[in-house]
Amino acid sequence: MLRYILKRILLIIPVVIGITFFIYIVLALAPGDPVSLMLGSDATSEQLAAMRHQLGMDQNVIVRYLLYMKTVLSGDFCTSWLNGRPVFNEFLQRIPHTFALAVNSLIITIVFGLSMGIFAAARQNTPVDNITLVFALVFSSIPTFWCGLMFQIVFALKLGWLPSMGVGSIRHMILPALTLSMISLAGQVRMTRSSMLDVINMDYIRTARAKGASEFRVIMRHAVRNGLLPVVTNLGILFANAFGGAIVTETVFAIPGIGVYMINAAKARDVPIVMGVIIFVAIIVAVINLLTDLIYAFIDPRVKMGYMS
Amino acid sequence: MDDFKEHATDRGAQSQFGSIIFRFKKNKLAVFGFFFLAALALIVLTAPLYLDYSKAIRQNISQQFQSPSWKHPFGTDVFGRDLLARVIYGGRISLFAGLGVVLCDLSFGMLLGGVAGYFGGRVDQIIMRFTDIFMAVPSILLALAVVTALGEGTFNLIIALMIATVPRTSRIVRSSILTLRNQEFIEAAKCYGTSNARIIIKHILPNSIGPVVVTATLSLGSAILNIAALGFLGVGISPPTPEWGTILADNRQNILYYPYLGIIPGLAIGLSVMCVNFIGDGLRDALDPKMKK
Repeated sequence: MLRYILKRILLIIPVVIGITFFIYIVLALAPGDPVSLMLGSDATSEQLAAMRHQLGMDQNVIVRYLLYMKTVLSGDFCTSWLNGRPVFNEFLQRIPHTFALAVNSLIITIVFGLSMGIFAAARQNTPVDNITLVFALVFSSIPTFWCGLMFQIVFALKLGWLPSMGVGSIRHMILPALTLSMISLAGQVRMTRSSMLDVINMDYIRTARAKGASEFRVIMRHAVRNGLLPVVTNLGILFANAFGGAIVTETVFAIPGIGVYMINAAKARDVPIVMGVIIFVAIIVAVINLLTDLIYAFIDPRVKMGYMS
Repeated sequence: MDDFKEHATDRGAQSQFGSIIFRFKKNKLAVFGFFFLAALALIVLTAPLYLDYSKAIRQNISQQFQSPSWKHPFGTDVFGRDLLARVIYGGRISLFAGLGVVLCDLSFGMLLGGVAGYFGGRVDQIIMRFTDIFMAVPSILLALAVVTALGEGTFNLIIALMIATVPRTSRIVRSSILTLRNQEFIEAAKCYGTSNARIIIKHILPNSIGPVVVTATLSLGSAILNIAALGFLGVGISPPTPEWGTILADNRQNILYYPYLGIIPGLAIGLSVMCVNFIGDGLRDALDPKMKK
């Protein structure tokens, strides 16, 4: 088991190197000059050249990438080109907001997704089942940012129940988390339903029914336990989606998370910030994926045996 | 009439394609989605024939914030531009860039996934490691980084979203080919000495097309959503070019007082994605071999 975990952690390294290299090259080869963007239009050519030299921009892209990675490996994530603030500190300040948003939306997705999915599966091919599926499909078609805007208008501005933007309290979190959960809710419902349907026709379910167990007990005790196994594997993907969607949601609700940080940096070609965010997010996503795989192994004895041997 | 229906059922049962169409037609939502989307595509595609592009971009402050009326069915925005014209011309970018993303995604995804799945071994390993790399960060984040680097424009937008989606598509194609590869009819074809190319074209592709078509349809929906999201974030399409996401971003400050400015572009995105999803759903049921019996 330990060897497996170690192997997985080692596999994260080439992936992070690959994605950072790609992004670095794309950013470097892109048209437009970030240095003149930084110094403004009235900078002299000497100033530009000096700045370029200071940032190491007069060197080959590959050399620059290697130098950057060397700095990163020594624990220094460089400073922003635009405001000179250290990327790492800023990231640490912002990540709790994004993390809280992603986790809360995940909780909403899972609670509603599972209950709707189980409910639909238990009433397979009835109008209830069909309506749930159509609803899920409709929900997955709504753009997140639009949903967020409509929530703001209805619940914050018209009804005045909740604050419309910013951070600070649990109440601030409700609308953004609901908005973000809309992305994955439909997929969660469908997935739960189909994996429940896979087990619902199994022999042991029929046995449970034959024993005279109540329908509620059959579903909750026998079917759900096994039917939800595949759902656990999906957690990693859900989390990554929530992280990606957080970019848009943060913009709508003015949450000072890493999404807003990334967008502003990308627009200004602030390479150290973009690179830093990509590295952090890649590592976070990889670790979450590893954790879900481990949880999966932990709750499914069959998989656990596979790792042991 | 009854005779005719029975005949149709019989024919549906005979040919593969006919039976797919037959099952698809039974899904009312999917058929509705298909016709609605077709009508929308027609309206948007033929726009230059009946609507002047300048109406969508020329500013006319004296006409700002006109509520929907006969003259401006969707009202006007803060710059006095006709919202209907903007939504129609915006649809050209949103829908057709979406289609472009899916086509690129599909061709590269099928190529990479097909090669990886069919040949296996080292090639497969290398391709899969590459997909790992590009799936390391959420696709919208990757697309955002690439599109800001490449600069604005529909073409760059398509490239950025393609880079973000090809890895997933290759994986789906690969896994559907892996299940096919070891089947007996492929082995039989190999025994006859059939060339690799012929096996791929004649045997593998037709059998793996089902899941791929479904994936493609559903990814059209997410492509439209992603384009709109990037537009809303202010990357990809530069103003004053209309695009559904940017229309919403432009009007963001005024939505509270003029709700139609927010509701209409949102509905345009939501309805078209919904139709695409209905079609994808119908296709999934129609193509699923398990449903055949």
